Amino acid sequence: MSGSGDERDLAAAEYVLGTLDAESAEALARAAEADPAVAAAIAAWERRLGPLARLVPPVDPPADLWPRIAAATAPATPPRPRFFARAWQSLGFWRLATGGALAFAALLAGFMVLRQPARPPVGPMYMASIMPMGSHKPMFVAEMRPGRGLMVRALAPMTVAQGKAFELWAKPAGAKTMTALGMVPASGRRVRLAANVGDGTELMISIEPARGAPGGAPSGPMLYEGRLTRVD
Amino acid sequence: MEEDMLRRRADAAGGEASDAGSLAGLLGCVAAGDRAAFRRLYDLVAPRLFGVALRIVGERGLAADALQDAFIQVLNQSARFDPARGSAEAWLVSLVRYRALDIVRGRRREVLGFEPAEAPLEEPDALALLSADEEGAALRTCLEALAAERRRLIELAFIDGFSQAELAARFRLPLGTVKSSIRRGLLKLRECLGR
Repeated sequence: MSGSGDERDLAAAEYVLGTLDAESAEALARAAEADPAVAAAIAAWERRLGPLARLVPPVDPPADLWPRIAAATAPATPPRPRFFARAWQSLGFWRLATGGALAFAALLAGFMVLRQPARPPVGPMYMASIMPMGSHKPMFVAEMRPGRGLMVRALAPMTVAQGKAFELWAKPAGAKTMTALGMVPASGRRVRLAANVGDGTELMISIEPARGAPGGAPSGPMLYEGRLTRVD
Repeated sequence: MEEDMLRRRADAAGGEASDAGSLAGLLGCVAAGDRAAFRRLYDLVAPRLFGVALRIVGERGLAADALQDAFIQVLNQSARFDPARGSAEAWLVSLVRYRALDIVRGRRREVLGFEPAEAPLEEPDALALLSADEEGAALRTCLEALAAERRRLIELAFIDGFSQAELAARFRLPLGTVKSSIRRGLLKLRECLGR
């Protein structure tokens, strides 16, 4: 193996071992997407070192984990972007939606008081699969537990034009304006945003200048949307 | 039932060689869009993968996050799994470990003063569990041929998710020494494993 090949193989080994720093690991993962030789080097090290994982005793995962995974991967109810866009502009829709949501919340609250089982200590969990308008394939996932912020990430590395970036927006149920929550890396790296938004919040992602939309309002097209719903 | 049988077999063998074929088969079904196979796969491997994630992130909530992300990836990338390149087990373990490592890397930046959990002391026969199949036995032989400290660096990095800086702090070694020691160890392993 040549000198540079050896260097590349060692980088793959360190990637699998986990000792590369976050930036180098991300760069190598990207290189593996484009270069089958890098991907093969990584797979070979996964095969060599993989048996080490057997030294770790199995632990039963939390009982709510499968429902969460099932919810995150379920084919979503089809969104209706055109109706959605028109209704969004209409005051009547919002009056109706707010009234309906309040009535439903009151009903739900009553129901939950009666039905509430022992609550898990971590607090409720909310999740949104964020999908392209008019499609069902989740591109981003957002998760929130009160007090722990909103964790958002692209499910796979995405490409965005030079000088542009993805920005996440929230429209809480009943609100009329959108609030900027922060930038979401296209790389697929998870970010924790200091947002504390509630059930039913509409999350949307637009393409903005790399440093964020000027003036605190979206300037680019809204490309992806999803609704934060309680999953536990 | 077949499902129970799979699980019992996996439990009995610690999930090694005996279910290797069925894991790869399940991944094939998942790639073909079989949701029931996705659930069976979860039931079969989640405890092992949760153990692996928990050891790295040190907290059940974060370990569950790692597993959730990994299983979403399993669903989206199962078609990319190539049995010719490695075992299904190694592939699944890798997906979970990378997510867990992402979490601890992020957490190290976000939470000032975050200290990883103290890794347990190594027991004399710690590597015995590796010997259940040929691949594991070969890795054990090659690990035992390394200098003890070098072997420990590799184990702590892989199993406990220690970064180079953490290893340097733990072994009171300069960072550069840790890095070169690990690299030499990895080269020796590659040479010893002969593949």
